[in-house]
Amino acid sequence: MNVVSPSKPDAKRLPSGAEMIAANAYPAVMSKNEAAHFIANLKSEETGKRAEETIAASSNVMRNAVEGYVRALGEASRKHDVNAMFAQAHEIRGIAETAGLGVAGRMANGLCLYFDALDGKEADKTTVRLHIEAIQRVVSGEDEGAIANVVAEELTSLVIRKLGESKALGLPG
Amino acid sequence: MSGKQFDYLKALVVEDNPHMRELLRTLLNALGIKQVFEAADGTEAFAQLCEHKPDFVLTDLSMAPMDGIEFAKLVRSSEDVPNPYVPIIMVTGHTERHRIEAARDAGVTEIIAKPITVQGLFSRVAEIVERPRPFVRAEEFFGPDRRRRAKREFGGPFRRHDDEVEIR
Repeated sequence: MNVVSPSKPDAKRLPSGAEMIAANAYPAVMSKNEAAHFIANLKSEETGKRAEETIAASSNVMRNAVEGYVRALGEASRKHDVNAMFAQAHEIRGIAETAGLGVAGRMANGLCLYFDALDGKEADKTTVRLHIEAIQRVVSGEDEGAIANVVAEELTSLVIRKLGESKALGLPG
Repeated sequence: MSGKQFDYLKALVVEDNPHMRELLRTLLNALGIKQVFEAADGTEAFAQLCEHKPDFVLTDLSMAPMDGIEFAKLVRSSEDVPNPYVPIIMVTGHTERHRIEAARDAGVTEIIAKPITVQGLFSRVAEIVERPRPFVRAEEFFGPDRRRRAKREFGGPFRRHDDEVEIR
């Protein structure tokens, strides 16, 4: 660890009684000189290119992983296990874009937001099923491009409508 | 891998998804950080943090048994932690407002929404190096100042003695 000693303790008391500790009063990640080199490297074209190549190289592995999560999502759906469905959809939204399956990620994100907004109350089965089937079609390559985008937009509208209906009926969400 | 090396830097990656953990590690490697320690949840991460004393932490939110929020709280509050000021960058697919606020209130320094991008990750790492945040120690909170930057249009309440209040 490269702890840099604070130059001078600089803490002050706020009217609320809280203490404000200035950034120069605690160990810095690195010295100013080291930081200058590090930031120059971080912002260099070469480093950016290398990092982008890293992401591109992981695409196939991520795609295989997404396919596994989609299978598990289907299984959770058959068992009506909402927690498992949320967990699998959450994994999909996290890595689908990196796998080159951004639309599936958006659909999975919509499903997660829907479950989250319901806060444990019963979800509309059709809304959930439509999301899962759409994700499966995108990942299998059955839906792609403009069609997949339109479906994703329609699913977003559906979630908004369903949550609106829940509110109108006095249900949570 | 070519490029500059920053051998003195240590990072800790906390992520239960092995694919994402691997991706974050290789991205940090691409940045020249070779010492990258890994953990799959908050409990394991805390042990790694105490042992290796990383210079910054990248953590997921949803993990079991200890999630990223509880881990951040522990880092900011435990007497056993070597550096309670260590920057914590949360990498999460949870973009719901209440979860973001919970992360902020737990003492998280920066938040990156998944899917991870080079720009997103590098900008947050640059932020913790170039613009380290002041810390606040209050009765129920210890962590980076939750007011990110002064807002000209901020209308109050003005509770700090250094708030710039224009009296008309």
